[in-house]
Amino acid sequence: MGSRDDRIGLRHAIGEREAARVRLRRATGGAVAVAVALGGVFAALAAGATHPKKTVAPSTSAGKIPALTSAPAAPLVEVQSSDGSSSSDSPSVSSAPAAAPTPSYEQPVVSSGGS
Amino acid sequence: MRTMTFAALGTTAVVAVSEERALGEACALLTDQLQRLDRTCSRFRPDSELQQANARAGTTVVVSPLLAELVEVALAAAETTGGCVDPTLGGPLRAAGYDRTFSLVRERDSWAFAERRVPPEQWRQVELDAGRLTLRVPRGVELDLGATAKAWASDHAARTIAAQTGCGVLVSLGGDIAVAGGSAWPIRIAEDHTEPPDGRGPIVSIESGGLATSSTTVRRWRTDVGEAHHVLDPSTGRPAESCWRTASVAAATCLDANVAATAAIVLSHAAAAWLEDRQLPARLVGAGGKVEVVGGWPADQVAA
Repeated sequence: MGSRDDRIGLRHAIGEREAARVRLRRATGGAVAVAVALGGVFAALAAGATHPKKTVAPSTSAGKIPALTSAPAAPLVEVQSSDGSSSSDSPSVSSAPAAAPTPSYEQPVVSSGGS
Repeated sequence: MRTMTFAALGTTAVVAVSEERALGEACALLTDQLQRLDRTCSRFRPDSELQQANARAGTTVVVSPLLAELVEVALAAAETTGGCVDPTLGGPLRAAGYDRTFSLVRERDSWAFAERRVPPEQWRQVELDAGRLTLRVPRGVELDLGATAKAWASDHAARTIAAQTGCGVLVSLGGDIAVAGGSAWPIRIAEDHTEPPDGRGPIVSIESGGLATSSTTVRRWRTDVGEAHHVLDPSTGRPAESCWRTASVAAATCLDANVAATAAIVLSHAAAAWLEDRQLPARLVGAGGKVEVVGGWPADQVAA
């Protein structure tokens, strides 16, 4: 057993320890409150980003886009035309022919018709 | 000149070469390319790349260079024709009864026709990045590349075979004809591409480019509201009610010719002026059989 002064010192130390524990608890509570508030802010930003009226540029990260094929199919054989241009140039449509069809009296090789 | 005919893509494929030695190689090249095309953009194969993209409508997916090019071509056709040739009509076509290969559609006794309108210029909502090879089909939309893919394939196959064999080539896929290599090719113009070359109809010759025919008289099927055909009017989602039953067009490519021929059916009374403006020679057959030629297409020969 210690002296009376020792017991008073011990109670004092216990009191200080309890006070420190209360301060720590308050600090922890404050940090949690700040974290919750920040979470709310970020959630609001995320909701705004997916608002239907907002235009969103489509993702271009191929790594996140599902692929339909395990590997892209090989392109058909690339052909260079007589003027050196690629046959896979940007497509054009409704262009006039080099010459209009001419009447023929030879035996045709094929029929063009609906299919 | 040698010719080989075989079934492909639910229709008839014909390859003709100016030199007999090239026929075997030409057939092999065409067969290979058609198999790739079928795997890529068949509307009737659930495992085709196109159907997988359709199944994931609303999602951006990575596609092969071939599908990217075919979609790009189809969107360009829509742009050039003011939307008359629209690749987003897969849904309305299915609702109208063309929901399986045509040989099966034709066998059916009837079909409960369902009209399905599409929003104006729906095709503009298709998101294609040809550089990154990504495609996003709009939610609720089904792409159908039938109006452009075969003609594009005819062009590509003819050029490829001519380059590989060094001789003159004609490729016909269901009457969508492309020629390459410099020879002149006499072609019978008919309502139905399966009519024999020595059958009825005028004969014209082309040395380059393409010639294609669209018709409402061939691919028809029974529905509970009458017969339907496969050339849909994008403004109604229904088979086009045209003053022309058949349109044949010559152009710089088979693709150009086929797009213009299909647009002519949809444009109806406005077709002749539209074709003239673009200097596209064409032969138009009215619903009653009267023929009109525009853009320098030769008048039909009078039988002796």
